[in-house]
Amino acid sequence: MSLKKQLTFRYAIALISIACVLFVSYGMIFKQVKLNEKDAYLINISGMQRMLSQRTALMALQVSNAQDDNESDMYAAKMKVATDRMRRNHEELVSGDLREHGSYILIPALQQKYFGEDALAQDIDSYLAMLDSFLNLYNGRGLAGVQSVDFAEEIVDEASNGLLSRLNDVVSVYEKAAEQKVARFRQIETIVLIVGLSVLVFEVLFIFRPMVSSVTRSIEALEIANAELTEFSYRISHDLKAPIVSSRGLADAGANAIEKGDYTIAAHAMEHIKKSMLKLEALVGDVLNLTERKLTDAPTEDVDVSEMLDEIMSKISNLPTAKGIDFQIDLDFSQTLNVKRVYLQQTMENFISNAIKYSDPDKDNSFIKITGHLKRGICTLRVTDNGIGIPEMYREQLFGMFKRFHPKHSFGSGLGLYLVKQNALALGGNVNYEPTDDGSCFSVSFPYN
Amino acid sequence: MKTILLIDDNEADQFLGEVVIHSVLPDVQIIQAMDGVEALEMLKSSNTEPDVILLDINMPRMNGHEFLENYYGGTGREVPVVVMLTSSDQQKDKDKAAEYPCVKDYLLKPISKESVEAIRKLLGI
Repeated sequence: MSLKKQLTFRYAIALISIACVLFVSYGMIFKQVKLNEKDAYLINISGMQRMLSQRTALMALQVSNAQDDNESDMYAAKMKVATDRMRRNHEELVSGDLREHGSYILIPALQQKYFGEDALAQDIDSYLAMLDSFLNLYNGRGLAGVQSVDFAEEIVDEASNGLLSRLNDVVSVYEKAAEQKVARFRQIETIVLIVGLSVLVFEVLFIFRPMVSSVTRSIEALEIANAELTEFSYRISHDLKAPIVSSRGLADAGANAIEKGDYTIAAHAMEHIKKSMLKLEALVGDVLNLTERKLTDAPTEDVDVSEMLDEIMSKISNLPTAKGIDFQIDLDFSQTLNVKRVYLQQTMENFISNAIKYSDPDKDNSFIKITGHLKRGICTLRVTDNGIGIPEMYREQLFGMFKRFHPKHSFGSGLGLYLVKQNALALGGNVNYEPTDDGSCFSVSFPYN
Repeated sequence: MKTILLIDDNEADQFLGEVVIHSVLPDVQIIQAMDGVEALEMLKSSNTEPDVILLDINMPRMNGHEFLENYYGGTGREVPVVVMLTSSDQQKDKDKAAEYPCVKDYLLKPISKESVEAIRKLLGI
């Protein structure tokens, strides 16, 4: 997956997680606010019942004690309003239908209060019936009618002794139920906070930290690539220019020598020009190979490694420098491998030609041994020689760009092993160098199908 | 007899250096090293005491800058005159070379008779 897709995916996961927590929190808070509104309304009307029970009794007394009809009418009207309100509240509280505030379920404690042994609902109904009777009496017989009996005192007595404390208990039950809900809401709040923090920790550990690592790795890779490119452009400009500059000087020196009749120097100058041009050609070839590797990809195909090595050997072993070297090939497999042939072939050509170039002329028994084996889906090919080897101090830089360690033995571009490394990476594998007792061992390992 | 140590990994440039220097200064002895490592080994031996070192920059194993770093503080002897002889026209190479007081000139390849005249002055002949 590309870095852009990875980052987009991770951001999307992070944002969706946060959005989920926000939606859940919003939903819970919304629901709780609605519950609180309902509870507040219940506490309000239950408290109002307590107040109305006393007020209606007081008004009954005021009607009875009025000095004239006008005064009693006024109190009777107020008492009627209060009684109606108390009735409406009572209906809402016992039925569970709160009209504009929706419905609610009576908890067992309230069920017990209203409809259990206490039978408060029934007593409130009786009280309301008393109020209705009082008002009916007043409306029928007027002030004299209600003053003729002790109806108002009966109402006061019922309100004070029969209802007040019980209605007060009901208010307490509603308040307690609301407090329990608030306590539960606090618990939920804490859970939401823990879930939110857990989501953040999850995002830090599994989204942002890997994202930072991924971006850091990309930046580091870019910095390395940029440094390589800078080094490459510096070295390539030098290495392309150097043979041309040398040839220009050599051409002048050759021309001067010819003028003076010194044909030996002129011939040497020509020979060096030729070598410089060959070197330039090799460098351009390596650079083209490298560019091709960066820009294109080779197809995979079934490769008979033994056949491929024979092909390489037929090209290379005829070189004059290969004479006297004992070549041995020992593969412990014969099956074909499905790999990118061009990269593998170039890698093995480079290893074998290097082994020839860096063979030790002072040894009589120079050999180059090519071995191969398969293990757990990985093929490893090794080229071992008893050549001049690589000094320890240069081994770390072996697969870098423009690295040459044997100026007297070779005049390559210094890109060969760098190219080999790129080939191995394109094969999905890697290259390795191991010094041996009397030479070198280069190997390439890669997965195969 | 004055001696010049020519440090260059390129055989063609070594050949050209020898031909052009001898065409102007036939009596000067020229000794050659393929890179900084070989030059340091030669200079450590008491036999090699050049009057002028002609030093290339881009070389395998040890380049010209690394040679100067190793050589300037490493011999314990009086350091001979160094002349850079390179195909690099880059300012960073010139600046780096100029950090060493022993570097008296910076010449661009290919070596010419005019370059050798500048070297002659440094040789004092």
